[in-house]
Amino acid sequence: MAISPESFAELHAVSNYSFLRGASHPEEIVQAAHALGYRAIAITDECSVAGVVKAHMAAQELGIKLIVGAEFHLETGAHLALLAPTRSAYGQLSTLITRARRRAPKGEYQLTVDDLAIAQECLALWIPGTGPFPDVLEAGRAVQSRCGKDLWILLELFREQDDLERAARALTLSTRLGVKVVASNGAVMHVAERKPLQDVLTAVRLKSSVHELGTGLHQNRERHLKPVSTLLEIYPQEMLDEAAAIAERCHFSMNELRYEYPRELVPMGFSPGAWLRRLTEEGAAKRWPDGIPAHVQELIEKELALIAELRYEFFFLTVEDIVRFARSRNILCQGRGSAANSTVCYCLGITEVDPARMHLLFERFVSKERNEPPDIDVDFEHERREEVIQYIYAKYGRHRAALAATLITYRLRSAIRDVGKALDFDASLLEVLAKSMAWWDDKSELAKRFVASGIDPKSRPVRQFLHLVRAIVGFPRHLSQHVGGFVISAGPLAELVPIENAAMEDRTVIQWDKDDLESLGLLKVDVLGLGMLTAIRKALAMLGQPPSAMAHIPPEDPATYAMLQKADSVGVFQVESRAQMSMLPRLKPENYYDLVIEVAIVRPGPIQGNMVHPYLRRRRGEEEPDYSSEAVKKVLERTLGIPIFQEQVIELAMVAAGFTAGEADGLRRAMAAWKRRGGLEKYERKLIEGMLERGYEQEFAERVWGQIQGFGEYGFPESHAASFALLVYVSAWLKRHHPAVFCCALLNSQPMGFYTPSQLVQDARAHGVEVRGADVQASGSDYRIESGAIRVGLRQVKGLREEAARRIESQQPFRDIDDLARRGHLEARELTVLARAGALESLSGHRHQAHWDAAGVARPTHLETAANGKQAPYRTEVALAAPAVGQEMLADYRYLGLTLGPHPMALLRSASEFRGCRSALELKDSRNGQFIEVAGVVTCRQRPSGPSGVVFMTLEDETGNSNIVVWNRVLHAFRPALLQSRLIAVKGVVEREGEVIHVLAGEVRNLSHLLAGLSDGMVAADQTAFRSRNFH
Amino acid sequence: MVGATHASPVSPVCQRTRPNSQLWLGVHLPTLGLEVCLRQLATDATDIVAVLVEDSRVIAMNDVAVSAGIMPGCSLATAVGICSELASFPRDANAEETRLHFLAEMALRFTSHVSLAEPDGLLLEVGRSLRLFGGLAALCEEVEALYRELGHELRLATADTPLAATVLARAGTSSLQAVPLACTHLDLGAIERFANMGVMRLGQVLALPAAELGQRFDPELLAYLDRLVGRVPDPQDLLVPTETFASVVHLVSSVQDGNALLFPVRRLAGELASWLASRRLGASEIIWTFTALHGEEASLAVRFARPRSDAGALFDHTRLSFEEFRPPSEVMSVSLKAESLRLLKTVTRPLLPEAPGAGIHADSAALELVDRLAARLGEDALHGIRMVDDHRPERAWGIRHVRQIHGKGGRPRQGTLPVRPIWLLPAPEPVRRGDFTLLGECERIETGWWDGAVARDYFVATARDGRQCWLFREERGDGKERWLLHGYFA
Repeated sequence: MAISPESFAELHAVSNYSFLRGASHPEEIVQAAHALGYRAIAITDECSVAGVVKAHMAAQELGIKLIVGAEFHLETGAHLALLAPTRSAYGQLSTLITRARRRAPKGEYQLTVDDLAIAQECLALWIPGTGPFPDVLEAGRAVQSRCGKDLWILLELFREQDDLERAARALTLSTRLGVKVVASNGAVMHVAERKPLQDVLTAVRLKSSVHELGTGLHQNRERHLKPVSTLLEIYPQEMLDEAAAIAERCHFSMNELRYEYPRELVPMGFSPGAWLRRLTEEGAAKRWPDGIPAHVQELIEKELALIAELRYEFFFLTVEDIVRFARSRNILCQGRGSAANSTVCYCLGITEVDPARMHLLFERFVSKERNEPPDIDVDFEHERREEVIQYIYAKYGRHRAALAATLITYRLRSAIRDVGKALDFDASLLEVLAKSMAWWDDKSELAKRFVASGIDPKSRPVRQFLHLVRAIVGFPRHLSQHVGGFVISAGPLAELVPIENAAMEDRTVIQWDKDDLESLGLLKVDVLGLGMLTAIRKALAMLGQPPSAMAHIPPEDPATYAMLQKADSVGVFQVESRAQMSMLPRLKPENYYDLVIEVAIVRPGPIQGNMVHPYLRRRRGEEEPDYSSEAVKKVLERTLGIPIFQEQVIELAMVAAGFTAGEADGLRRAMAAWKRRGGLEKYERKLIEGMLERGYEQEFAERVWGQIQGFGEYGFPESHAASFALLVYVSAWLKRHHPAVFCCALLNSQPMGFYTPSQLVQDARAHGVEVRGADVQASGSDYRIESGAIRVGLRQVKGLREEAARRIESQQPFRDIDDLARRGHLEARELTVLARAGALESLSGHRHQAHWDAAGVARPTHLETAANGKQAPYRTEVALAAPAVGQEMLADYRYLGLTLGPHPMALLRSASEFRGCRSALELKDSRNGQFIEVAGVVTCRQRPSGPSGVVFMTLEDETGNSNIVVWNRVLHAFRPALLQSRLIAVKGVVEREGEVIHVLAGEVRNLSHLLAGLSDGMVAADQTAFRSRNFH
Repeated sequence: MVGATHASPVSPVCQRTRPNSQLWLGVHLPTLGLEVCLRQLATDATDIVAVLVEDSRVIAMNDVAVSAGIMPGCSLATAVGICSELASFPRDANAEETRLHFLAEMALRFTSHVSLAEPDGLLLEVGRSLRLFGGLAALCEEVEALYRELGHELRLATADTPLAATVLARAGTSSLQAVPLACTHLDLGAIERFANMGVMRLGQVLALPAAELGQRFDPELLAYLDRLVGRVPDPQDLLVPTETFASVVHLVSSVQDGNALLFPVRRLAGELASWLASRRLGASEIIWTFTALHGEEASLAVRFARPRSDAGALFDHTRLSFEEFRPPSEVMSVSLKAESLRLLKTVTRPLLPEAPGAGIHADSAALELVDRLAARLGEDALHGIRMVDDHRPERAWGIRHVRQIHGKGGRPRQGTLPVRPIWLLPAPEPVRRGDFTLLGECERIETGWWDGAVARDYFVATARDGRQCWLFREERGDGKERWLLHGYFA
């Protein structure tokens, strides 16, 4: 028999995008097929093409033909694979998948044999069942009658006992149906060595373990890609040749997919370019009512030319249309991203950042050399984003608009849990392992964990466990919806990519994620929600201004910058976090561009690249900027020679390490996907050697590399920072000049931001704003301004529905509690939540009595409600004792989320436990190196990932916040106290750098019992009032 | 954790109002749940950090766990974070209930009036026992000693009413006024509503006007308070001890002949049968004891595959067992005890007679056979083969004791069973390939990487003597292959 290695193509292989079944990445399957000398490889995931883009990229790189297909189990039990030979067959396949997926819940599908009729042009490979022969024959006839003439019988032999029977059956069916038999590996993995992983995936899918599954697992490792010589031992030559012949008939390539923009955006008689020019000019006339300056006109011309050359007109028009809708509904929005920082976008109203004024150059962001697709994300008010989404669905229809997918993959923690369960590891051991992820990279520590649990780390199960966990990390688990990335098309979207149901009702997602879209050069429009935009719009409304007034906030206000330089930034967009607060006094921003840097510098990129301190030194004039060449100077001059932004690093790779535009683009994409899929390593040597060759220091090159890895953690480009900086400025200006209104707007936009309502209210009071309590006689549903003071809104009352709050607001005032219940149509439960929150005190006096009164309100009948006003006033003989101050405070925290009474520390400070403790205010006057003890309620506990094991805590007392740093050694010694306490005292050493003060903890006392003491025997659950925000 | 607390016999609220008043001793077992779990451990559990877990939260813990810094109510994850070596036990309410029953039966030595105060308490009416035990203090000491010996922490309290005794024991106080509402039987919702009103203790509740309370709370609250303070009687369900059957026949003259013994045996079997029937019980084991003239004794245990209650079966199986049994000479008395009793399930008979060998009849016929064989050959001689769900042939079946082969089997989950030889060798034997003619294709079995990997190609083959056998080929360590014989088809 002549062995010709060229004579086979694999037509039926599933990747790990057949979730929890396939045990190889699509790229691995393609690479293995190429290495085995196959003529072509089909990826046929189950009712899905989610993995084909990755396969396509790999196939293109290797030069092997990729066939796009999918396999299906019909409702009747029939099993078949469909291949797409042409673009139009692909469209049919995609439509078929869409139909099957849309009628089933998320993650499932339903397909009848009749549905196959819509995929007429696909090639069908039918895998006969093992049931009684007449039934199987009948099933074959049913498939044949729908699929047309392009049908084959797919024979897959796995060296199991029924091989002979199957082969004989295939041949008989072939004669009876008059179709040919073709051979396949039926691969679920690219190599046999993946079998243990495949078994584990099966166990996870069936919620069982490999021990229990028994014959539920495959009996051997045959379902992988095998050498042609091995296949020849199993199948006759002609069945292999037939596979090659089928592959010959498949011409479709993913490269043929072209995206067509919706045409309705351009009126008849206009070209897209002409229409974009028209809109831009209209916008420019509004932006510059006194005439467009010459340099602006020049910029517009330059940008329009570039947009035309890259054929991006439709993209800008799509975004403009969405933004125009938002504006018409008074929804505040703000664009960001590479293309957003253009004069054109400023004219179109997509962004309020005037690039001319801010010295930002469009060309810096969109370049034809770099081959990046244009990027415009538009943030909308988070409470109203849904309106925008519904507009898009209404305008284009669900068949033309859908959300991009986000691929959920195995992370270390989920991998440990699932693999552990599949291997029957003890649940509490897995708890330990999943918790100790920081140890994962430290083999000796990990070994100690096992030893401590009585398990030999060198034992076979543990070795297998570790190996499998590492292998499964990065495996896809399911598709979820992208936060807001829309794909909109001219024709039916389902002919481009299958659409399936998302978990959220009425949401649909396509089967590709944003990396896939980018690989294929398809554009998406990001419609995102941003709480700060809601808050700004509400603040402007309270000041009697429309949303568009954001553009007219006075620029470069020195008082606003002075406030930020003092780190007085609670509530301000982006720069309110603890890390930003410690950066503000060091960086001392004094203009808009400083804010752009401020936003971008406290990120993993610059931090891991050790770029922060050099930049600060140069800024303070302690070090001179130096540039090795003019090219480098051009890239880095605006940041004093230190790369801060992602774009600078990419440009640096080009000018300093000799990357081509294509390589730089590859680097950018690898950076974005690194955390999910890896693949950054191959650029490391190239970058460092490239920089050394060009005379850069090894140390600098390595820092740049560290920064690239940091951007991989969380990329942050200048083009986004520029838009964010504008919101930083606007929110800071509002806080500086209208503190009550700003705080009120933030509170009415919750949940958002870094701080709780309690912390926001405390900050406002510290700035001299009066805050009045929640009261059914005076509060609205929202917070509102009441002669200069903030009145707490009933929305803050936990458990009170918005409708109830609005009814109360509309019926105020009330005579007594019966009147409130009747006219407010309040049920007993609603009265209780009001009593708990202290909102009935103006009617009942105090909380205890309010609860007694609320419970005693007679249940109104319909008749009584009709005869409104006739009932007798509420009366009771009982006068209960008032709660203690501490009890009131605890109830405030628990049921209102904030207190206007004394802080718990103010009540407790005189206790002997706190003798010698300094307040947060006193801490501000401490010296560097001073020994000190502070105490407070733990409001934030943060444990950054990484092996350092350091814990950051924020303590709150009656005077403010103190920041605590706990090192590993101390953490080990005081573990329970540090992890569990709600009230804590910390002895330690002050570490001070200017205004930035930390206490390095040395000794810790858990004083939580004192909080319980305040409540004097109130139910234990009350202690939950002091839940800190914990981050692990 | 806390030692026994004695409450004074009479609390101010529950005055003895009725002449024939009762005195209730409440026994509270605060850590019963954990104690039940720790009993399972072979070692003395004094140095391990042990926590009891329900819904992933720690609900109880031992002293070691307390000193490790674990707090009640924390999540299991937090507890593990504090002490990674802890032993966690899921709460087993069934085991607690069983244990509580057991402990209640033990209390029958103090009084015949014992009832359960579930989930973790007992109530003893001790008014009539005081004199016998030398007073309340002495009685309490004995109760305490008994339960401590059995490995339980406890708190005691006495009161006029059962409810008061229970809540006082739970609260560890002698004043009903001071009892926190959390220690009462009020549901969590009511406790929380009272807490909202600043009402934390029973005394505060009792001080509120009943009419207004009635408006605001379930009517059951007032009824509860009435029973608590003795305004209305509160009859308790008394514990009924588990019954066992024991009966003796004294023979008029000693019996030498084994067969002659069958007569009293038949009579006792009949007695047992009617006793069982009246209680709808079945016996899964009965024990005969034959006592000879000089006190010499011999016992014979007869076991059944399923609980039996009919005289015929009880007698027949005993007779069969007799053939292997040597009673002492000169038997003077025969006694029969039946202790392992089960409630009989009502069996619905099918309306139409089924074909023999089908359904329920086939099953009981098989069980009948098992009983007969066991009676004749002895329990240990009987084994069954059971299928195990595994691809590896040597693990695809297992020998089990005959009593265990029924019930859920380990059939492979895939449709058809693979063809396997009838006789599988205890261990595969190396053979020469040349001695066999291979028939058909190979079947590859390559699995079990988690607890015993195999990688074999199996063949059906004919040996020189014509016997059909099952061979496999596997790779040796040196990369060469070897052949082994694994079984015979015929």
